Amino acid sequence: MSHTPFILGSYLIGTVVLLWAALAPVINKRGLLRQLKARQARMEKIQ
Amino acid sequence: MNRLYLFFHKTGSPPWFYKYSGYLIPWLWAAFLVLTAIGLYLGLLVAPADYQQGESVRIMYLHVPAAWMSMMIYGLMAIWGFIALVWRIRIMEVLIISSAPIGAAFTIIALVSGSLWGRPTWGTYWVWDARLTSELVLLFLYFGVIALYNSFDEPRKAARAASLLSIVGAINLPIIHFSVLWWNTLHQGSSIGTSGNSIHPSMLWPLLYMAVAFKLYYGANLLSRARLRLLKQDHRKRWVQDLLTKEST
Repeated sequence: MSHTPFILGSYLIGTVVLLWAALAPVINKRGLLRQLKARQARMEKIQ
Repeated sequence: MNRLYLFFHKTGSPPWFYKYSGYLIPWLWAAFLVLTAIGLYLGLLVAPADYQQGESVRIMYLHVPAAWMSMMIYGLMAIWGFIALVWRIRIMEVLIISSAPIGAAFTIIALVSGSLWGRPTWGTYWVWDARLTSELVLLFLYFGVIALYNSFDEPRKAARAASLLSIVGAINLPIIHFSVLWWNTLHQGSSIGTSGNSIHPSMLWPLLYMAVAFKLYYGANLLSRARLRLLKQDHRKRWVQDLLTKEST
């Protein structure tokens, strides 16, 4: 039995999970900052 | 005592934490990438195959550090949970809920890589063995902390509930660790311990590089998540408004 697919599969899944966990806060922060800045601009316009 | 209190008070201040953690994150990512590259090079290309398991032993350099992280993160969550409940330090609450998804990610990696390692070694992907089952329970505990936190509207109440579950769930950590001694399991016992190692240095070093690299990953990811959560919680506060104004100009 070749072990290569098991080794590659493990590292591939590990990479995907770690990438997802690392990128999720970066993507969410961008969205949040955009939202907060837009709200701040709206508030400044009203004032 | 007064100095210690002042230290906690200062580092526990959200604007201070946000500012200084921002400086630290790129260095942690850089160190993680360097150590991962060294660890993978040594583990996948330099270290020898095992005389019994063959090439499949290379899964160890991912599986073992991930399993260590899954337990270490939950242990930290329990300690922070205790501090959060006793001293009501908000940063601790933020650290608990920011740690849970990272801990869950490492637990998933440990379970999946262990399963893929089990197929060529044991002849099966899964058995309801004490070590595997208790690690699966750990994954459910992480999901439980996340779900419990999100079921509350008020973040402080949510954090108190999550802290409590983190502390209670920590009972699973010694069960995972000693499961291979307490029950007859397919899973092998520890090769690395305080009383000595039964692993050759050519295999030990890549394992240690990966273990340190994963700790750096956790540090960087935790700080990123904690900063995001602080921004969300404090978005109406003066320091966040000042930050937004500064970034806009």
